[in-house]
Amino acid sequence: MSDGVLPPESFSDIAIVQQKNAVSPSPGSASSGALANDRHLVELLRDGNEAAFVWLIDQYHTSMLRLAQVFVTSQAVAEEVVQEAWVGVLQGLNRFEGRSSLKTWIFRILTNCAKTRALREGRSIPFSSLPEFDANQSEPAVDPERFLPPDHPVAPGRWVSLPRNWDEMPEDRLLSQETRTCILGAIAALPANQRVAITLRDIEGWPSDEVCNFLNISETNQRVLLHRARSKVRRVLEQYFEEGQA
Amino acid sequence: MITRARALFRRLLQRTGMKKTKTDITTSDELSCKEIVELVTNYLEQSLLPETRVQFETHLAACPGCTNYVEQVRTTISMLRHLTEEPVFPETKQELLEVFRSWRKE
Repeated sequence: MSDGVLPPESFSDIAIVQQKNAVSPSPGSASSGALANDRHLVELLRDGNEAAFVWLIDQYHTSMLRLAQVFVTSQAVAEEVVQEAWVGVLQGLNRFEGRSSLKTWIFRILTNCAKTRALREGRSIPFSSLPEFDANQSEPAVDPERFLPPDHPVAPGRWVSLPRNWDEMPEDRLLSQETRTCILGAIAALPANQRVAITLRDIEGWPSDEVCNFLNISETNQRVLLHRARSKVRRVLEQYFEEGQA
Repeated sequence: MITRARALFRRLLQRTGMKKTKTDITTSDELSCKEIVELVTNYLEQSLLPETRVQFETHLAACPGCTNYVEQVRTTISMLRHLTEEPVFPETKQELLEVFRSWRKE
């Protein structure tokens, strides 16, 4: 790799500031400092600063890939979509006005590319029908059979079989490749809008307001999606761990 | 009075996005295990109303099953968080740099 890839002094400062912002409680409500950093970063990119671009790739590429996979069928297509999105980002740089954060802007471009591709593949698009999404429709987090019936005289709704303490499991089982595969399988099986919510919130670690803003949904709807998604992943894990015990 | 309080409580619960269904309504202000598992996300997101939060924590303190359940959800979240630790492939990065360089020339 050429010397050009090493970050120039001024740029590495930005990287540090931005990373700090990334873990602050609410980068969604982009502070003026973060926006100033975005502008600086965009200027560097417009000037053709390779280190700035590499930093951007390191920050977002994997996340973009993961999000793209929510929309399209295969890993290979997702990679193409992300590449397309990067081209879109570069070509659109002159139009970036800083009204949203650079991150949000990049992910919007990605989502547009992914949706276009999904349409071409004839796949339905998550959130296109979200206004009709029914948050009140019953979808229990845990199989109702695990609880005493509502008309039980002493303790309606109490656990029949207690959930286990996972801390008692050997750590290598919790962290095994097989467990990982199990989680990925559980996520892949989720309805698309739940998959987007859990991907952005829990896997990518976006704060709640940023996700709501990005998907243009209310906090309540986001929580419902997240709740259902997390509940299902937990359930699949529980089942998987129980099988291991048998 | 009690009926009114319960109606208010239901309304408040609805506001947190967790509408109770008829079968879930218990005869007291105590939450059941079945209700707890539906409130976990709101609890972890700190979006429960203070009084519901107190009820939630009171239940948890006395219920090993629900304590384990909440811990399981926490563990699930932290496992999800650890899925991201994959670097970008060097070849991919190289390809993107080529894209960048040709864009720069334009």
